[in-house]
Amino acid sequence: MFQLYQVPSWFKGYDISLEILFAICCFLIAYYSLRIYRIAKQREPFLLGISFALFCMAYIMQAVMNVFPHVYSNNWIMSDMFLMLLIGLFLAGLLSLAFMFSHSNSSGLYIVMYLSIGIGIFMSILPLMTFYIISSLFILYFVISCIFSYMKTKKENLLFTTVAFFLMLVGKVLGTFTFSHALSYAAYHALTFLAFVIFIINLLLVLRYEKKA
Amino acid sequence: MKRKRDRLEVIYDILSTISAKSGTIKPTHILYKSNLSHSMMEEYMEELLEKGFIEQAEHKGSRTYVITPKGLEYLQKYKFIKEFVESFGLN
Repeated sequence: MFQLYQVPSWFKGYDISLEILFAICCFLIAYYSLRIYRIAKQREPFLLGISFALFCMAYIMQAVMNVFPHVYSNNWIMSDMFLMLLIGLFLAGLLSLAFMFSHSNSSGLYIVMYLSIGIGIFMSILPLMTFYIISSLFILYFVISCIFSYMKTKKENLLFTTVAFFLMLVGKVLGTFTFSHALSYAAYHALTFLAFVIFIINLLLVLRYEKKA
Repeated sequence: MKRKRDRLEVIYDILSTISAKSGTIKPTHILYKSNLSHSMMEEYMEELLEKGFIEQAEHKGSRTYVITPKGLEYLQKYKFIKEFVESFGLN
């Protein structure tokens, strides 16, 4: 059976509310990305939309798992299945984002990477910790990509995106300690919350242009 | 020195050129106005046809391009698209 995370007793309930909030934020970003894709037919907004749609589903699933822990806590098969699905959704979203930032086109490469990383995670002794480490590496790549993009374009709003990804990175790094330190779980949620606040501020700043159009 | 245009800008420039000519234009006019090489122009026109932003038509025996409602929507929402793409690092 996979070991999940330690949740501080004072934080129970807040984690579920935050995860639902994260899902709503991801839904909004996915919605507007896919709207941009519908108009502009560019690959990058499509991949951004798909990524955040997958994150949305993952956060909803995480919230449901936290609401009904008794469903799987005594059933290791259910526990492993839920965790596999959760990690699978997050991983697909992260890979889609990575492909967007790298402008890679190969669906074959996507499948190979997804399977090899996924198998690697589930063959490891601590899959959740391994997942946090791998997702930290992905998010580090996003931060670096945004920094390089900012250096080229000097677009101020892009700084918001960079800071948001950076906060997510720190949150994920702290997440690697949720197995042994319950406070890390709360810190991960707090930093992810800040990251999504920044993403939504960025989105609202962009939406002004839709109204002006 | 003028900076290099990105893909979105080039598409906007081409569609604006067509729109400015009452929505219909000959390929040679696009070549003059869009500041692209012939091969690049062909590549972009292919892309615009594929995405449904323009249609091919015949006018007095000559090939012309006509902007579609999707193409007009792109022009209207261009600023929004550009801001979104740049703000989220998509370009």
